[in-house]
Amino acid sequence: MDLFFEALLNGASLGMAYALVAIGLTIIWGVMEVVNFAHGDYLMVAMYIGFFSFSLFGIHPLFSIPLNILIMAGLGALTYLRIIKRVLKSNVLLSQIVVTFGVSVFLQNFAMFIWSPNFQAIAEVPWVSGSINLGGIYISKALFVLALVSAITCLILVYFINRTTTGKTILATAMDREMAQLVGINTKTVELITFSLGIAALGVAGSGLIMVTYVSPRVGFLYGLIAFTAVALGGFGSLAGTIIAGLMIGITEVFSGLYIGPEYKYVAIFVVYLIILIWRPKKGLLGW
Amino acid sequence: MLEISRKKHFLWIGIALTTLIIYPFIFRGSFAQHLMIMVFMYAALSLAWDLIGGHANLFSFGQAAFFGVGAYTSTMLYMRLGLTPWIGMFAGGIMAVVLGLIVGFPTSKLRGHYFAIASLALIFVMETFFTNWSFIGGAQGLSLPVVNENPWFHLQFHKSKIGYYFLMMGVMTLTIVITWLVTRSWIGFYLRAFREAPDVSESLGANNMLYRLIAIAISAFFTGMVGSLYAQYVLYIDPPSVMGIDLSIRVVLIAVFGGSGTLWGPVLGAVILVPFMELSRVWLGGFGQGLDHMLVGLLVVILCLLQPDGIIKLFAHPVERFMLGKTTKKGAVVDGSP
Repeated sequence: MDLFFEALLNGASLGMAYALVAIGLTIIWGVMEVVNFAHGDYLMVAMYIGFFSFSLFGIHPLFSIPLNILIMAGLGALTYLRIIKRVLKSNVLLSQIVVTFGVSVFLQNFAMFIWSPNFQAIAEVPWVSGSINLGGIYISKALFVLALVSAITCLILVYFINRTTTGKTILATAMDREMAQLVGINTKTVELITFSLGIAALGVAGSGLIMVTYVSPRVGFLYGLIAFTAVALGGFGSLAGTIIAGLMIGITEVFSGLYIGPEYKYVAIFVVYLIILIWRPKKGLLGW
Repeated sequence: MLEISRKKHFLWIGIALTTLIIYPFIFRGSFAQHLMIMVFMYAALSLAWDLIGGHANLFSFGQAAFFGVGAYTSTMLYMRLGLTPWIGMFAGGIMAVVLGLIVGFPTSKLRGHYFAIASLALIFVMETFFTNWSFIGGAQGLSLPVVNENPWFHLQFHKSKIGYYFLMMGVMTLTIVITWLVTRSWIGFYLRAFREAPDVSESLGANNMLYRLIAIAISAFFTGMVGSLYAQYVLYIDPPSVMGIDLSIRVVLIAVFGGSGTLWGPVLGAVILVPFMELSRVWLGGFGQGLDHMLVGLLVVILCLLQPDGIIKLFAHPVERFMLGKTTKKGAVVDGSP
């Protein structure tokens, strides 16, 4: 039974990180109706930033978070202004999908070019190595800290979007763009803020994930796919749905890895995705 | 008016065909021929993709799964039963259709991004299963035995690539003809109706699910067939190379780059993008990993910004371009009028 709860806790912790990655994707979709297929690759860049700030400058991943947020927000703003904004103007659906693929291919191979395709990881992260005992259930400290950081960031994001004025303009734009423009919201600025925010959230996730796992140029594909699955599962544009779906995916991954076999853990995630979408094809769990 | 333009088209097609037939006898270098084989292959694959992606607007990343199933089917039939790849090729296509129907049925209600992500998941699942299935070679992949005698039975040509060249060209031509026929037939009309207004066409009594499945089946068949030929060409297949996401992405990029929803767009995309990829791989490969694909990514981004409807629009007739600009914003188009 301990094993069961251990798996549950591990899965939920991992799922919290997935939720954080997916939440950026879902707000970008909500406002711009663009699926950022390069999302996982931005996460990969963030993980490299976390990795190198530790290995080159000795900055602990937890302290590299602010720096990471800044860099990623800048990268997001740059991408929006140079690429997304222009491609949204053209109104051609396919090119809107494909352009983020181009970005994805570019980032992935850029990373391969300058950082080599090798797997890199921080062997032992100070302070958070080892595991902690929660009443007979063990969880690695790093994973626990990751879950904590992700959960706090998710809460901040949800609070920001639902309670602050800027957040409310984001919500308004997502719900009805033309009405938002009528009441005086500058939707272009909202789009810029949303895109930067969505990518900046990856800064937190990148610094957090590098504590528990490795990074390589290819890693973005898997995280991206998990994030898309979480977003689609939760229903495009739904924050709560995305968080629930992220947790579900994390738990599914750990349980299927434990009871079916580690090689099939991602297969199980997609089977769950398909089952839920056959049940609710146009909405996902909580979509609107 | 129509008659003249149609005659003109046949003239151009005739010239193109003759050039392609003469090409391998002039350019005898193996790289020049390899280049064209890859162009044919990707042209056929992108065209097959375009039937789902461009005409039915189902953004599929699942093409690599069909490709891989085709490659594995013909290779297994050849290695275990000694069946000639001629039969294997069709068996591969049919297995791909079976897979397409198995996957297409439960996902037939999904639209837009939900479908795209389901198809991404399909690739991932298939690659995992094939990597862990030891009967078909698992992660090690399959190496086809090299046979020197009777090349047309074994479909292996080791002296020159001309055999592969014409086979691939044949499959591409077949794909073009079938795509042309399908998009001009009632199937094509139903698919475009579904693309433009899915709910309206459904309410008018169109059986969207049936036509979606037909489109997926046709697309899967040719993709699987090309997969079988590819296995014969490279003589080694493993899950990442024939089922990996890279292949699917390349196919999608080529089709959209050229101009999806049109007959010649994907072909044009392959003609431009494939040599670019292959040449940059050869020229820039020495500078370090990834540089060549970096350029491809950059090219795609630039194209999406400057010419979002695809390269083909640059060549479209001014009148057509004018009318297209008036009637539709999406990539709908010169279907049927090549």
